[in-house]
Amino acid sequence: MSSTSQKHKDFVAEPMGEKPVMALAGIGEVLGKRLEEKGFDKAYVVLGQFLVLKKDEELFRDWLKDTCGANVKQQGDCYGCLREWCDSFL
Amino acid sequence: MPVFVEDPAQFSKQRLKLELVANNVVLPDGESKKQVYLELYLKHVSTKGATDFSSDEEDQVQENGAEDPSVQEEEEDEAEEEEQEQESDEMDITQLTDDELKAQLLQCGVKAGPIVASTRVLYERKLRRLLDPATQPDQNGTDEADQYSDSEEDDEEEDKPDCEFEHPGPEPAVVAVTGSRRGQLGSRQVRMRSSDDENYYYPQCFIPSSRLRVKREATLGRTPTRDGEPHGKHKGGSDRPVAVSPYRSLEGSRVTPPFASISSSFSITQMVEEGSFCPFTPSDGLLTCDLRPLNLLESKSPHSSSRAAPESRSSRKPWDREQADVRRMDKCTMTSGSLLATPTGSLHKLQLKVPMTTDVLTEMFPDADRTPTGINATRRRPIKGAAGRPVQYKYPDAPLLSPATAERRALRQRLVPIWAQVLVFLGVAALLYLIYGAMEDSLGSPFAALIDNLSQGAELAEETPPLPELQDSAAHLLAEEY
Repeated sequence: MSSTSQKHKDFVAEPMGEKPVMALAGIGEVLGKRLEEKGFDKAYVVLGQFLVLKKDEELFRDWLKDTCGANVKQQGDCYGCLREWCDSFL
Repeated sequence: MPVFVEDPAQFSKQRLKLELVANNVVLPDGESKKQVYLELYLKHVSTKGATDFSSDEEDQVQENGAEDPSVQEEEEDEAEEEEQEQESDEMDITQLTDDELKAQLLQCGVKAGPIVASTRVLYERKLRRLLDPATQPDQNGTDEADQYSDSEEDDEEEDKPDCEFEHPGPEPAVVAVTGSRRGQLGSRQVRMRSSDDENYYYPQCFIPSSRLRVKREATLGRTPTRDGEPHGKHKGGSDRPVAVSPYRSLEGSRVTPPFASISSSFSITQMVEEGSFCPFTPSDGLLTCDLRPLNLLESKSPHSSSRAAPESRSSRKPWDREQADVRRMDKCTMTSGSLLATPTGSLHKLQLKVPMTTDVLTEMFPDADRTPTGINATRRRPIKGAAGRPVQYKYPDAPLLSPATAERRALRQRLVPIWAQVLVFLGVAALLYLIYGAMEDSLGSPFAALIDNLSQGAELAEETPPLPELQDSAAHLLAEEY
């Protein structure tokens, strides 16, 4: 990733707390809606899924695509953001 | 996806269940896959049927059951039957228990995490992909994207809607790549890659020999094997696997039984074999490192070919060739002696090159593991104070400074040495004295003039009173005369 988005930086900068799922990089309004519809309303729920997949990129991408139809870039953004968050806060 | 809300394939499993229950459809007992619910939903609830599949659904269908990956155009027509196929295909996997699924994955070399409701689908899919990677088209090209991109896609990817179709094109390559990532085909992949590297390497290495080759073709019509040899090297493709093995055996810098694994078609070995008999000492070989003008070679070779017997030519020719090769090694391979691309069993060459280069390199970079090609792609290190550095690396125990410099440095430990202090003091004193003296002189002269004037004036003033006496006496004398 040559440069990270502002959203990514914001998310990675601090503990996620009670941030909504749309605070994740790569998850915009549309994908956020879809995720919320499936019960993933907070970022930490997605983090839970991310962790239960053992931070596996392929599986997480697959899951994200299945769950909300994220495209490759969105998958990558979300994955990178969560991984980096885990690297610094977990 | 514009019609997301209406698209049943995008519904969650729970929502599908709810919808089914709401429409009085009997649910299949037990937990089953979303696909099952989805099909029930499509059959019973949705009136639109299969014509409104989302792209996600198509991807899944393809991935699960499609036998021909090139049918995306008729996707909508075949969607239903494909789903049937998929249904029958995936039944065995979906009916595994979690533990069985985990065991299956472990058999395939994947260490699965916890298999829970939210992850099971993913693991099922992964297992299916692992079980028959050849028949399954890769989903969506995401695997390649994982592999090759740094998760930042092009803009076109971004602009594309969620549906991304699978290209039916280079399927085996994709399979090989993904397989190697899972460690199944890793070794083969590496081998192929290394041979590719060598293929890449040969043209570089033998380009300078083209001049020799031209000349040799012109002069040596009688030895077809040697003439054909550079061609084979330039093409690189046919004898590439042959080139691998002797090269490998050389790589450990041990001398193998020279021509054991080399086929007869690899004519450079023959050439080298002849070359190893020629009178040739390592010191001579060192001399060849300096560039002899090529016209010298050219002037020599017609002589040998025209009048001499085959023995003399065989002793002369490989000699030239070896000169060219040694020179070339110096130029294009800066790294290690294992890059002697000619699979020479000839001892003198190894004595020439290998000890020199491997010594320094292995000492300087002891932890760099040796690659089969010998080319180490390491990050370029910053060189500070480049002159003294390699020596420091090579002999860490060596005293860094000569005794004289150490002494000087110890002296410099005192801020200013005593003799220097004394010297400086004396110098300053002398300077002050000189200044004082000069000042005295320069001051003295005007004052002296002034003092002289004053003293002259005083003398004049003193001398004037005697004058009247003189005048008086003179007057007395004059008066006495009168």
